[in-house]
Amino acid sequence: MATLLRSPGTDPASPAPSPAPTPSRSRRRWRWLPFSPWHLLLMPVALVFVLPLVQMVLTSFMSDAEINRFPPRLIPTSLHIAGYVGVLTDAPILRWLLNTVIVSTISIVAHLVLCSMAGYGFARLKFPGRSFGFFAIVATIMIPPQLLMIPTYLMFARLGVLDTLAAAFVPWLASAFGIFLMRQFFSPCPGSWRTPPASTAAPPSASSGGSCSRWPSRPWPRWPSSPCSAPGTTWCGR
Amino acid sequence: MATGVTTRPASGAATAPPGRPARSARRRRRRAVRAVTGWGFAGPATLLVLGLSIFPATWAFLISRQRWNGIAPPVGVGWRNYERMASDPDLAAAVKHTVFFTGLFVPTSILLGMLIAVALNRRIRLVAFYRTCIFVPFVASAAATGILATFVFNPQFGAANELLRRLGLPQQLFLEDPNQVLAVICLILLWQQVGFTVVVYLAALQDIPRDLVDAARVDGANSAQVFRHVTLPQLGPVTVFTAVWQTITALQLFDLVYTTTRGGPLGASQTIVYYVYRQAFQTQRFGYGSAVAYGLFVVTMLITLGMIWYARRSKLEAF
Repeated sequence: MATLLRSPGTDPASPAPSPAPTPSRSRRRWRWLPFSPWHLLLMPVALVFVLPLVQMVLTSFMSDAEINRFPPRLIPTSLHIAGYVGVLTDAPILRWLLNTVIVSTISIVAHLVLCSMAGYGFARLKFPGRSFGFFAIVATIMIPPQLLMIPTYLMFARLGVLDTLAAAFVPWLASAFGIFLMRQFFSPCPGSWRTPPASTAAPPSASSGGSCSRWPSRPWPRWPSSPCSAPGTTWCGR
Repeated sequence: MATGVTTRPASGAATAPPGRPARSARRRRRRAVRAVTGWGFAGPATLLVLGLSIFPATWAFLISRQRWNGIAPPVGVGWRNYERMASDPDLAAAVKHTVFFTGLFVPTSILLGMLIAVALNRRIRLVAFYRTCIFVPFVASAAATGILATFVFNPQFGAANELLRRLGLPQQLFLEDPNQVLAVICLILLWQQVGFTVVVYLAALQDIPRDLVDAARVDGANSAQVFRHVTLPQLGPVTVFTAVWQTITALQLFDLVYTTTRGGPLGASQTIVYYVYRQAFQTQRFGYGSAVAYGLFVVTMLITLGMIWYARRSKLEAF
């Protein structure tokens, strides 16, 4: 630990006139709190992000009169489920839900397979046209989607897939962002794993496995494991 | 065998004798195998992405040189659609709004994302809960976000004005005030998009080697100095990525405007892409709409390349 290594006396090398707060000292300043001071920042921020969603759920249980009353009220006084009943009876929402599930399942599976293959190819394999292909893919991110709407519609009309679910999932079988993300993930530290020092040189069969992803310094981060371990998946759900 | 990993074991382990004349033929064959392997991996996705963007984009370019309402046969007008863009006051206003919005959104989203990520990057209780809360809006669709925002910012019944009333501050019109509308939409988009920035920064923060921070601490650096001289430089590449990504998001802002204000009030929140949508799909001027979209594409590309070039010059490898 850093604090154990510090010399016990006063620190002569300290540049600031007033002694800089060491971690232990700054922690002591907040000792009167029963929790970490970071909660004071994070709790309001988290509430700002989640309260509108909570309000949406609560509002869904209100009657129209209750929604439009003044002053507005956060908690409904009575459980009003007419909204849910209306959704289930007035519209074929279950069919819509099924469509959504079909489209997103197909595009997630296709994304995972195709984008990770392409990402691996662009990151680890050397082949003619690799740089150009990857640059072309990244360039397509900059095309405004509205530009492609009319030609895509005309194209699908010619292919005869209008009014089918295929028209909804074919554009989402793979995406430039997914390929980009997977390529960054597979990218090894430049040059280092290809020519490892002799002492750590592993047989090619071993180094082509997952071990490369543990190389210490990387040009781009891995994704944290907590709630968003699969941003690519989230992406194609949109 | 330096390239042993990249070639198939079958070809690498070929038992051809090391004769000199056979070498160039073998090299050529190895090259062919490499091309087949590489494109076998990258080909399907590349074909899909390029086929569904480059091909329609070329088509859109042809449309942008026509006058076409979708029903009558198109008439070629050369570059006249592009010339018209220069003297279109509505487009000029849309460009002004988009530039203002981008200038407001990109720096705020980077700063806020970095700040929240730094706060979240520690082992305290409830941190998983906080992370989930901040990421949840990113998963919500633009339509849901827009509807929710019109609730919250409703001048009469909205929670935002209720909060201002409790605090004793004057009531605001928010989305119905031409002077506020862009700032409010920026706030909504931040609410939705900061989760993404936070995740990217959090990943980068967790990738900073622990030894680096410890070494700085041993040398007597305090928390602020560690952040300034160790953490911040390590976040450089990710900042470039976030800046580029959020700039593209801001320049292409459409769905939030569509679900909240539809360009109003008095056209005060009309962005470039919303203008494209109106030209093409409401007034059926497909040719002019495509020309404006093409203009936006070229500008976006120039800005992005400029940012990447600047980052490369500052020794930041982000792409």
